[in-house]
Amino acid sequence: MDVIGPYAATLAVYFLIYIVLTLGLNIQFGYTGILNFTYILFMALGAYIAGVTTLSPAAVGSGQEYILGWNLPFPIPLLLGGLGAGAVGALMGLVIFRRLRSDYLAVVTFAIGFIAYDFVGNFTPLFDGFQGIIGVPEPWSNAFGLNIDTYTYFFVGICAVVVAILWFISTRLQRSPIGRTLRAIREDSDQAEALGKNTFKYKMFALVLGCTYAGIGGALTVEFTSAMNPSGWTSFETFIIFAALIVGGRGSNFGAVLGTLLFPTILDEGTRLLPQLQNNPELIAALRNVAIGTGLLIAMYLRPEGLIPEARHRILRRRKIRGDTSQLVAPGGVGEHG
Amino acid sequence: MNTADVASSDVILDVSGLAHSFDGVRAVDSVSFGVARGSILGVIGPNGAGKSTVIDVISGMLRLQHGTVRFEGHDIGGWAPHRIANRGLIRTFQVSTGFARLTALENLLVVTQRDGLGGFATWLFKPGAIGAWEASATDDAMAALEEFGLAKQWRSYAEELSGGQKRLLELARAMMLHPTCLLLDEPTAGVSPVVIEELIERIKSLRERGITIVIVEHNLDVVERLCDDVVVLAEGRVLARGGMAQVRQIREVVDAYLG
Repeated sequence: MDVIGPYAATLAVYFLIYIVLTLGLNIQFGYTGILNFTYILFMALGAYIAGVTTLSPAAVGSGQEYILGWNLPFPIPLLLGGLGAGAVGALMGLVIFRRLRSDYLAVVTFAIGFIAYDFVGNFTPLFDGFQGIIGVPEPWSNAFGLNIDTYTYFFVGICAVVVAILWFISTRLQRSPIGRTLRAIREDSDQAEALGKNTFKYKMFALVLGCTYAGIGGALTVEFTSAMNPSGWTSFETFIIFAALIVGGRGSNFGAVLGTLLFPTILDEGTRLLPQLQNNPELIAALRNVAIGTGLLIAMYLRPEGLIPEARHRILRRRKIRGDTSQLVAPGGVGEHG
Repeated sequence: MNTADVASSDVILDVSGLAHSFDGVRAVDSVSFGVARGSILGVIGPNGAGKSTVIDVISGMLRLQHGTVRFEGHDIGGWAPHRIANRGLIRTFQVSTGFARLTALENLLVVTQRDGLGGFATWLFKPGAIGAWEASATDDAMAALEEFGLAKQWRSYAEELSGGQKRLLELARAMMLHPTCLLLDEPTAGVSPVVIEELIERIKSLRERGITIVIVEHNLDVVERLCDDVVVLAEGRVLARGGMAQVRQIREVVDAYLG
């Protein structure tokens, strides 16, 4: 039983971290229709920023190289990871939203991801290249009398608190007038623009918020695993989060959670922790990829809108229309031009 | 309002020397016309005449290359489409889909709200404040749906509506912005004859409210019944301008239409 507990707790941590990532992608792709094929880059940025702001400066002769080394206490690195990823997301938005249509935009994000991957991998003074940052101390690991066995459970709690906060923001956004505008932009950006919506501003908002989520997810990852290097953020990782969202239900937060449970958690991370087969160590990894691809195809065929599709909008209050409503004014002034 | 009144009123939209090329191919060449406030102007011409390009440039969907576009005295050439729309110049699209996976009611609500991103903080911590506004905006939107005969469909996704209903939804949606001028890109395309009659009546009633309308249309019967004035485009140039009866007499117009 000693084995099962930590195993389940570790899976729970991955599950919660992936929920953060999938919720962020849902804001970008699910709500707004932005095809950001380098989403995982922002997870990595969050991880690196949180890592190098948690670590002390690299010791001379240690063989490690990285910037900052601010030795900041948790949860400041977590917030910096989110904000840093959001800021880089804003820079990318300035490039991709100005002139590019959604299909070209997707290709450009792909290219940006590859460039970033090679840059981070080869420019060692930044985050120690392909070796990556290691030895990031776990937050509050000596507090509350925690030991190596109980710490994972404690970290589940940290992740749960983060997920709760981000879930709250996501669902509020979804039901808000801004969420509705984001969905309108997803359906037809040109129409939204022609109806007076500054679509650039709204897309930037969704991109930056989503990237902030990714950064926070990355920060949690590095605080838990203590390390991050480029092999942790290949384009496969972006693919699996997209798969989770599409299978779960694009635009639906409950769908995002269910998809996260099925794909990154059970099929991907879950099978990583299985013991290897002695006579064929590659078999489980190969079967995992087959299972993920097949699962995506079956789900797309049987439930193209996802296992839990986006809910039809619930009107707050369906009141009968009576009397003159023309005098009613919205916050910021409804119904007047300019 | 009769035609004589229209002719004597001021020009709300003035297009002058408009030219537009795609990769060196000139689609529109020195097109100029004015639209009198409160009138309905038809823009007709064979396929490839440049009608939609003109609409796209006026509405800002295509960046202005040459010429000027003035609306209500402002030089709007080069403005972003949303800025033009917020000035009161609203366009519709040739292929009318609405926001497919938004309900009919949401399609209207989405254009009503003007709170921008600043409203998000309010919504996050005080949803009740916006909830009250939502309720009143919902009433406004429902009133518009009722007016356009779509009240029963308020909960349907736009993609579930018929072609004619989508056109009506598009008009209702544009009206939520209280436009002073509407650019309608083929409003009767793909619509049954019965609904065409309804659309004609709707468009007439919009004009009675003082809204200026520019209508790109292939159905000449519709043009004749609605428009005070017609601009004929062919190969990117203005071929003729005048009343429909007058325009029909021009030999080149007949030739252009017959291809």
